Amino acid sequence: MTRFGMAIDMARCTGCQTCVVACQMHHALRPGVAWCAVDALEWGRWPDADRAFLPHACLHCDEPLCVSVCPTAASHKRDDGTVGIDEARCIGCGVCLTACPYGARTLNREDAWHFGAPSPAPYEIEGEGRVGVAEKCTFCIERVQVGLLPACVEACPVEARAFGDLDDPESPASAFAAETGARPVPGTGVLYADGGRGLDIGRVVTERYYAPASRSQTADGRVGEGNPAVVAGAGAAAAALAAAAGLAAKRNRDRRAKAQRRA
Amino acid sequence: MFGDSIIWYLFLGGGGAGAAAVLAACDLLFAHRSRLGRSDRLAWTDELSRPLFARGYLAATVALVLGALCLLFELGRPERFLYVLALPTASVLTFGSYVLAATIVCAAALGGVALFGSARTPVVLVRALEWAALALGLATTAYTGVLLAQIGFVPLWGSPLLPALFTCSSLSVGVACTMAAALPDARRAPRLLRALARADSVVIAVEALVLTAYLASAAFGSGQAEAVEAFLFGPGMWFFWIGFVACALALPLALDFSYTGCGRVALAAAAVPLVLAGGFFLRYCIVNVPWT
Repeated sequence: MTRFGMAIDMARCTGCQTCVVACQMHHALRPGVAWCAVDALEWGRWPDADRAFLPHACLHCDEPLCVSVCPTAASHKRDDGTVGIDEARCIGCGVCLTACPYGARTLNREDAWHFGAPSPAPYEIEGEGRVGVAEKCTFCIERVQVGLLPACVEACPVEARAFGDLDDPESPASAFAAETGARPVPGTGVLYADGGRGLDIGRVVTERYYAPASRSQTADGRVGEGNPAVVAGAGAAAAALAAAAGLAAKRNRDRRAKAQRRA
Repeated sequence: MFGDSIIWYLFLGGGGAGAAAVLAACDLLFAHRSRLGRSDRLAWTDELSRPLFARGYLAATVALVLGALCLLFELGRPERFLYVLALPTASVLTFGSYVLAATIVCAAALGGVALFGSARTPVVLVRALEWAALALGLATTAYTGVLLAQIGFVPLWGSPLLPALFTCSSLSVGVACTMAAALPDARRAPRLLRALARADSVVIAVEALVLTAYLASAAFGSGQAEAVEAFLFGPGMWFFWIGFVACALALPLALDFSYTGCGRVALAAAAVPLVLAGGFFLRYCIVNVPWT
């Protein structure tokens, strides 16, 4: 059974981002959209410091949560092990974006083209339908099916990536993994060699994606968009209005009762 | 993570479904009482009236539709919104869309019956709609919790007690909506409001227990003690303690008790907006749980 996967050697990765750009160019991604990200990891302080680069995109999980939450089966797991998105079925609900622990998916709502062009250039046609739908790394499956390598693997100038059938011990990915000691992120189709640092790659990616979102809430100790003074003022005003309405109703009732008694 | 519109969707959808379920349960209890020969404990059901159901079901329908619209307007491809119904999968969202749509239909139908012709509608049909509204309403309230609980890697989300907590909260909101619908008749139907206030106290007590169990199981059972600590004492803690615990649990409980004690309708009336605000803030706090 084919199970496509990728092996990445962090010891070779220089953080040049060529893979990010190659992916954007090949798939004609819309402005501001990137399927691949390269995180710069740093530890310690000179002279006891360390630095590494962690390129990551969709990890093509064995049992993807994004597929199980998708309401229209736009996200699906293929027989070759890759996870795909059917653009024609996606309604852009965004649940898969939250369901992905690795932040691999994006949803672009801007129907714009690079350099502010009003219409796509001929080489951008592939990206035409990709507005308001979820998108992510596809392992360049249309290239793989004609015998090419994914764009990022081919473009990497330091050969930090390898792609192939993980179920075939002689595939380039398996050979690369054996050579570099790359280990899979548990439950996914991507292997990482972390230069002997013993990292929990999956956890690192998850934290880098989710922690800033909640940290921005605490940047100045305030949470959310509400100004406490405004909210408290609104609450006091509402309470005062309710009290006034209650008083007015009581006065009305008393006046009516008095009129009735007189009649 | 999820945006603001999902919080409104969970609140309006859960609350509206809870209201439909509670209203249906009230009329089913009245039918039950008629069949069993006038039991005294359900005497308050005699005070239910068609205008109450009209107000209640219409409010529930509006809340449910608004909730669905919150989600619809946030879709990347809003014109494809029918795909969730037309291209069903074995996903929680598909199930939720179906039960939510069915709850809206039942609530609207029952509201129509209350408004236009409860005399001309066969009782069997009304009872069937009410049983459907009860079952579908409860399913919808549970679904709002399961929607989050299936995304288990987010701290505090992956707990089976979260759907239970959301269901209790939705039922509390539902009872509060029914109380609001009963307020205009408060002079004429005192036993009804008192029975609803008592029901609200029970639901809130259960909700408090479920909340405690939920946080305890996350802290001591799932090893998420840090997340629970950040949730209870981190930034945003006041949204939880004041927005939810005070507004949805402590104050309404106190108001319901004092109302059943002394009979001043204003106390029951004051509980209603507090429960609604508290229901919103519960979803707000859970969706915006800090990442640890």
